[in-house]
Amino acid sequence: MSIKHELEKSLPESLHFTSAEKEAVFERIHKRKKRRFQVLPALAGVMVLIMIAVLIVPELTSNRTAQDVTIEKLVVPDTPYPSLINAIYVDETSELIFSEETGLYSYSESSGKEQLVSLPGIPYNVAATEDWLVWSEPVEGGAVLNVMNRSNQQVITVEGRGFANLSIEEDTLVYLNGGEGVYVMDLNNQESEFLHKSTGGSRSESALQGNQVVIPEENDGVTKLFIYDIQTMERVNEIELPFEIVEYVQWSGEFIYSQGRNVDEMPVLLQANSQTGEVQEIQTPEFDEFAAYGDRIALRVPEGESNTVMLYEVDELKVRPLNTLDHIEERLTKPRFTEEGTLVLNSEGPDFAMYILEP
Amino acid sequence: MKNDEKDRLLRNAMEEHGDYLKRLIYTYVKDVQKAEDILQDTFVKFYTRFDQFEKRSSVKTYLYRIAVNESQNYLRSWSFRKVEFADRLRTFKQGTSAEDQYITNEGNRTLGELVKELPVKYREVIWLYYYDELTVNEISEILACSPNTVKTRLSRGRKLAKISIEEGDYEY
Repeated sequence: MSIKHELEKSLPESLHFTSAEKEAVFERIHKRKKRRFQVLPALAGVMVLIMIAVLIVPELTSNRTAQDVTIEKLVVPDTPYPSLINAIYVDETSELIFSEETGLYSYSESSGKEQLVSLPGIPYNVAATEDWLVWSEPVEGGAVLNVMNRSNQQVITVEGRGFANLSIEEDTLVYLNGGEGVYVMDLNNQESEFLHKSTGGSRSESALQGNQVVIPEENDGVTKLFIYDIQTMERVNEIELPFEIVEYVQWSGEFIYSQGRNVDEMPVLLQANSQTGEVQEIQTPEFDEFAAYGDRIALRVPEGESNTVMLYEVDELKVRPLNTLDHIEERLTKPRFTEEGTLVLNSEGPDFAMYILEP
Repeated sequence: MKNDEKDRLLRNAMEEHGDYLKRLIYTYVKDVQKAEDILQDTFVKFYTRFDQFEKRSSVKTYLYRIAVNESQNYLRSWSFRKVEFADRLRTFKQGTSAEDQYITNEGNRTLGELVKELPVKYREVIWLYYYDELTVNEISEILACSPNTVKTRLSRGRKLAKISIEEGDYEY
């Protein structure tokens, strides 16, 4: 029996696009056309009132519960906080990967703490996935990049001027080479290709999604986001953000998120459509660090004289608080989402536990 | 482009790809009603964005790309995650965990069932390749990733679903 037939057998029988559904598509399209011309002033007034009510009601209700995530608390034994603050979480293996003065380590509840690589000092930059472990070290006159294939533990070393801002997507590494620019490396053969010449630099790393990468550059009081296709090596879009400083650039779905600010100003949360280039501000409480994935935003917000991380749901360019993290008493910091939508947080309690929120 | 011409293209696209797209969307959302909604959204977007269609890709890959994006956006949304949580809770109350069910049924699982439970990134390439009969290059265009990535995911997906490529068949 063919694979196609076997796959089809697993579907419900009624999965056809019916004539009624096709007509419904046309109806929706033609309604959209009419709507543009038929909104009467009175109706517009009613709509404004409804929209105000929709916007106000959630504000009046208390924090909503987000029960659709599992929260795991991980306490990594004998590991200093500075090592954990940059720990990378790998969804496929449920492990944390982090660096210490003696090398690179992994920790998972099932296999405990394991040394992956022994090193004489803390590596500058590390990136890790289920398949690859990549780290760079300074050497006289430049740097070396170490590429470990995790399936066979084989390490290959590549020399260069510098290897920073490492990020991996499948078998591709994107990195910043000194002040020169951004390169793309095929990890299978370690061949690199030049992608983007640095012009102004940025306080944010680049962000990868699928076969596209966004590279921020600060110049003359504005920041530009350059979007490249790393398969064709072509620039596919350029988006201007009217801010001197843009930090924490992240890419989720069709949107590129970042926090923009001018010197001595509080940051605002920005959402740029990667295809149309449209940039909008998301209304938030005061914050100084964020992470975004889908319709979730984690913000580090003031709490007393310090701050902590809270989770929000974003809707219509406004955030609504969720009480998912309310029961955690320690101060939370350094929010980051994985590609699969797992939220990783550091805490500053006595055990420096890490919290892993899996959707 | 004139509206009559766009209407004609839309009707052709719905006739030619509607059934397959609905099934593809279902493999993401696993809910017939939601698949219907997302399919309608897909065609509405196809129509309204038709002027942005640069003809660098075929109508088919353009449509599939919209459908995949819409489905993935839904999977990232809280509304989906709430449904998923409610399902998990129901299973828990019935006293059977997903893991127990997996162990109980493993011996009797069909290829379709094995594929259905693969992580999305493997499931989608298996469906696009074997069911929708798209090429690796077309899939890479739809999923916005390199052909090598598609090949790697296909290879892992096949392994997990116990599909043997040598025979063009599967084993389980």
